Amino acid sequence: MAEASKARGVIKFLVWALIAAALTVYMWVDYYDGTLVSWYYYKAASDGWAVNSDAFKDASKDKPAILEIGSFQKIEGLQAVPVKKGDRLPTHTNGIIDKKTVQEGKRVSLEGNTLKVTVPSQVKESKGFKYRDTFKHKGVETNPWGGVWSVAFILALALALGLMAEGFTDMCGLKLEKIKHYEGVH
Amino acid sequence: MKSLVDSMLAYWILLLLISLGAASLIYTFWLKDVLM
Amino acid sequence: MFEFVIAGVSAPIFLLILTGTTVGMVGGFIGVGGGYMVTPALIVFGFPGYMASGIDVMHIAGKSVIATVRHRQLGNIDWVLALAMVGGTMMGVEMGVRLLNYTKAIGLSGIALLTGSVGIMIGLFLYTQIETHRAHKKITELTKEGKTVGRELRVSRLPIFFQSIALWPIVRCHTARLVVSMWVIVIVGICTGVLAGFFGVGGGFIRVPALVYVVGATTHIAVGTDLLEIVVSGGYGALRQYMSGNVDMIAVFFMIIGAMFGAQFGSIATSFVRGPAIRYILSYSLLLATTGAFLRLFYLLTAQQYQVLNFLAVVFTVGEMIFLCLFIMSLVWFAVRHRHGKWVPGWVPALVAEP
Repeated sequence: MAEASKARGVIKFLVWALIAAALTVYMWVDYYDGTLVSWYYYKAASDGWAVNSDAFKDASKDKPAILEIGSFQKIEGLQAVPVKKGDRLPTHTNGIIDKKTVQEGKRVSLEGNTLKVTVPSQVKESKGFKYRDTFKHKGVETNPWGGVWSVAFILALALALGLMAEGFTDMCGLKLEKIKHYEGVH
Repeated sequence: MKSLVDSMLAYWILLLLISLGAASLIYTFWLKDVLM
Repeated sequence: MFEFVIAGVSAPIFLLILTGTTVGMVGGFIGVGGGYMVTPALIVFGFPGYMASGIDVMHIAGKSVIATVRHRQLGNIDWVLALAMVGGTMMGVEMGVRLLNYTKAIGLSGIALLTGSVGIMIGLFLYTQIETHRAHKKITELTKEGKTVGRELRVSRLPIFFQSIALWPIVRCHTARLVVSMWVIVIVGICTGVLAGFFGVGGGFIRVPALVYVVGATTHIAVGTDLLEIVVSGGYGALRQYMSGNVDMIAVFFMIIGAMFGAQFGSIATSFVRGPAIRYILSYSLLLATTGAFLRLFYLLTAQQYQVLNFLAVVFTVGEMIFLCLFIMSLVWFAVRHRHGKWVPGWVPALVAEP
């Protein structure tokens, strides 16, 4: 009897471990081929210029970053693409410098056919701890179906891992019975 | 040691000191340079 | 160190996995999501504030599934109770978030919110700690009289009052052995949801005491049922966070790997202990989270002048997770020793399950 339940445990563990491994590989493939990232930086949520904020993260007032404005399909380095709210974002975009920031002129200013970035990041505070806030993620809209996929993926992976663990404990012969909540004095 | 651990409060304080010590080590070796 | 492309930070994978493990253990044991520990920890590791919240909520949804699978095996889930509560909880969270946005629009500060959440946590800590201490003493006395004490003992008389409210429809929860008006369950769900949505403190450590002290479920069933609730509310919250651009899936993945071990241990650990042990850990987590919040509040109120307060706040945030895990592991270790007739501290036998 014990041997039969251990054998069932082995099968359960292996099946769910394989499913969990397959899900993991699928996610990493999607990550490395850029699919996850492209769902993320999907559409513009406001009017402005699509940029890759990593390219100018070291800019300063003494050494401003000059971004060339143009209709590029892919952003390579110091480039900016004008976008309107709802436009799909070019590849390698990870944030939007919005029109309001440029109009204010404190961090970014428009000079002819270029954007001059002098203050690429600010220190902000959340829950009592400070962090560096850049133009990354600003003004971008993620793909809603990407959200549904992500939640479904995490729930499926977690279910596979949970059932794999159940198989593991069965395999090891660890007997876990239902807790008797109402025996004795309570 | 047994008489120390026999008191729930003393055991609680002992565990807390160990935990805060471990957290200080983590802060010193990993987090000091990352933290703003 | 790993380069998290979406979050835009490099962070040590080891710390993410450790956080997932420790919070998974605590969450699997006391039925909370652990957001009040994880979000500050992620900010300390370098993630921006909004990403920390999003990664946390997505990881909570996954971690709660892992823990729920195990709690189902242990018989700690009352599906009727969970179903009756989930609608109220979702409605409550939505109301809480809208109320928060409204109060922010009229100028309510972050400091006022932090103070409010600290007030709730202190109140819950005091009630849970005092009631659990009395239950602990009663179990010790009953055991000395030679009586067989079961898994749960509660001295609070609140559930008797709420169970006497005879508003139709009446719900029969078979696993929890409860007969209670559905309105009690729904209103508990709404109130805990509003508090969770408004103060941004997780639903778990308000809902578990509410299930125990208002609805009258045993602590084990409250933990398992609450984790099932968190799967639903966490999944919905995670979807909203993703749509707001706050989730880095790779960071979530590493935390789930940690939770795979931690949540398993925490959930299985509940089978070694009695209800008051779980309530003690819940009250300690409230106390430590309150202290951590106080330190951050002082740091903000003193205009961030005293760096030692920042150091203490970081050490407390990381230290509280380690402390809770060490305590849970000790309880299991003492339970195993007690089963084999070996010496354990005098306060242990009343807290651990008899073989």
